[in-house]
Amino acid sequence: MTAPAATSSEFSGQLALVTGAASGIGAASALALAARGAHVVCADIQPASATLATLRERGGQGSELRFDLSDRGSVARAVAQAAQAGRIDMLVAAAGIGFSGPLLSSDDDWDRVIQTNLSGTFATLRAAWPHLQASGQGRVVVVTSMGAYRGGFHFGPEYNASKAGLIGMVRHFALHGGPDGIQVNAVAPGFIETPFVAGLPYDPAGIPLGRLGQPEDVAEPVAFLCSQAASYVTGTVLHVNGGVFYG
Amino acid sequence: MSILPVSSNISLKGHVAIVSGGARGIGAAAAVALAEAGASVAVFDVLAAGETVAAAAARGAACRGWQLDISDEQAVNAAVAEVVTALGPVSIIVAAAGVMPSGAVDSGLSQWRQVLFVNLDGTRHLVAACYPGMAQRGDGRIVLVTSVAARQGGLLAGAEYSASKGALLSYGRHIARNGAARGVRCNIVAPGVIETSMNAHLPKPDPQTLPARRLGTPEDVAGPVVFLCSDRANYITGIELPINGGQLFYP
Repeated sequence: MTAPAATSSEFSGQLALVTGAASGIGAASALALAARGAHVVCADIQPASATLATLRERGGQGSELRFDLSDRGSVARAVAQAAQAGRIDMLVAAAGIGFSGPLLSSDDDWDRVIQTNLSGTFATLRAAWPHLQASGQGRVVVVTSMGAYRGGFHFGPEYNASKAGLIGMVRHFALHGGPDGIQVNAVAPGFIETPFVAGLPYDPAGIPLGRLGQPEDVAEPVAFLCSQAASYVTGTVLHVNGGVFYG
Repeated sequence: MSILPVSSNISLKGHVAIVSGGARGIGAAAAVALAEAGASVAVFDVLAAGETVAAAAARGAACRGWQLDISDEQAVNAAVAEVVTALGPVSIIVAAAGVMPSGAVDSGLSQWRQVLFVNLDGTRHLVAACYPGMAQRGDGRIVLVTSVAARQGGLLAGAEYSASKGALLSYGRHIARNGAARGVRCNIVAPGVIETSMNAHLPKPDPQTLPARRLGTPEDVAGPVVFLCSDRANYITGIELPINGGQLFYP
C-alpha cells in the first residue's frame, strides 16, 4: 500500500520552497507539505501549474515560479522571489537531472549533471540559508538517491556522484546549522515511478516489499523530516527503497 | 507525561502494539505516542507501568501493563497470548527494553551475559512470539531501539551494551529482509544521548558539542517510532534512523 496522504495544520503559517515541484517526488512533496498547512512555493524549470492546481483543489496554499537549477543567477532570483511570500522555513530540494548513458560518460554530460544537481542545489541552499536562519526552525530535506550508495544501472556516473556529493553537503550544513535551529537531512529514494525514470526497466521482482515506489512514498518521509516528530534528527539520510538497500 | 511531538494526524486505529520497556524513558514515550495515534497498547516491563498506562488511557486508548522479565521466554510467550486475547492480534512491536550498566572493555562475563540476555535475547523472545501472527496476517511493523553505540562504541557503558545494540541492528535487518514478502516491516531507531533514568548514573556529553546544542528527550525518539510504525513509512524497511541531534552522521 502506498503511503497515504496526511491532512493537518502542523505547518500552518510556515513557508516551504520545493524545487522540482512540477512532477514526481517534488510534486508529491509540495502536496504533502501543503496538506499540512504550509504555504508552498512550487519551483521548477517546467510549469508547476498542475501541481499548484491539485494543491489548491485540496485546500492548500501555494504559488509557482520558474527557474533553472543549472544557472546560479536564476537560482538566487528564484529564492529571493520565494522569500517575498514570507520567510522560508522549509526547503525541499528535489530538482535534478540525469542521463542514461555509457559508463564512460562525456565531459559535457558529467559537467552538466554536476553543475545542475550538485552546484545548483548548493546555490539553492546558500541563497535560502539566511532565511532559514531567520526562521529559527529551518528544515532542509535534500532528495538524493540510493545510487549514491550503490551505483546504478540507468544513469551515468555523474548522476550518482552528484547525489553522493549532496550527502556530504547535507552533513556539512547539518553540522553548522544546529546552533541556528536548522536541521538538514536527506532522503535517498530507490526505484520510484516518476516521469524522471519513465521507460526505464525497473523490475518490482527485485524489491523486497514487492512493488515500485510511488512519489507519495517519498513525500511522506520528506514531510516527516520537516516536522516536529523529527525534532532530534539531523545530518542523516533516510532510505526509502522498499527494502532494496539498508544504508 | 509531556506533550507529544507526534503530528500529521497519523492514525494507528485498529492496531495493537506491544512496547517493551514501556514503564519509563523511551519506551514510555513511545507507548503514549502510539496511544495518542489510536493504537491499543500493551506495556511490557520488569517495572510497574502504571504511569504509562494512565497517560495512555488519558488519550482514550486501550492500554494495559504486563509486569514481566523480557528475558524470560515463557513469561513473554504467556503475556503475548494474553495480549492477543485482551486487545487483539499484535501488529506493532516497539522493542525498547534494555539495560545499560556502567562497564568497560571487559566488564566480566556475568555482566556480558546479563546485558545480552536482556537486550538481545529479550527482544528475540518478543519478536519470536509475535512474528508468526504478523506474517500470517500480512501486517507487522517492528521497531527496534538500538543506540549510536552500535556504530561508534561507547565510553561509559560496557562493551556488552554496544555489542547488544550492534547485534540488534543485524537482527532487525534479518527480520526486514525475510519479513518484507510477508508484509512485515522492521526498522531500527538509533538514539544518541537521550536523558532517561537508564543513563542517569552516567556522565553526559556537553550539549554544546552537539550540532543540536541539547541532549535528546524520550519524546524526540517517540515521534520517529510512530512514523515508522505508520502507513506513512509503508515503503521503508530495514533502515537505521539515527536520532542523535547530529552527534554522529550516518548511514
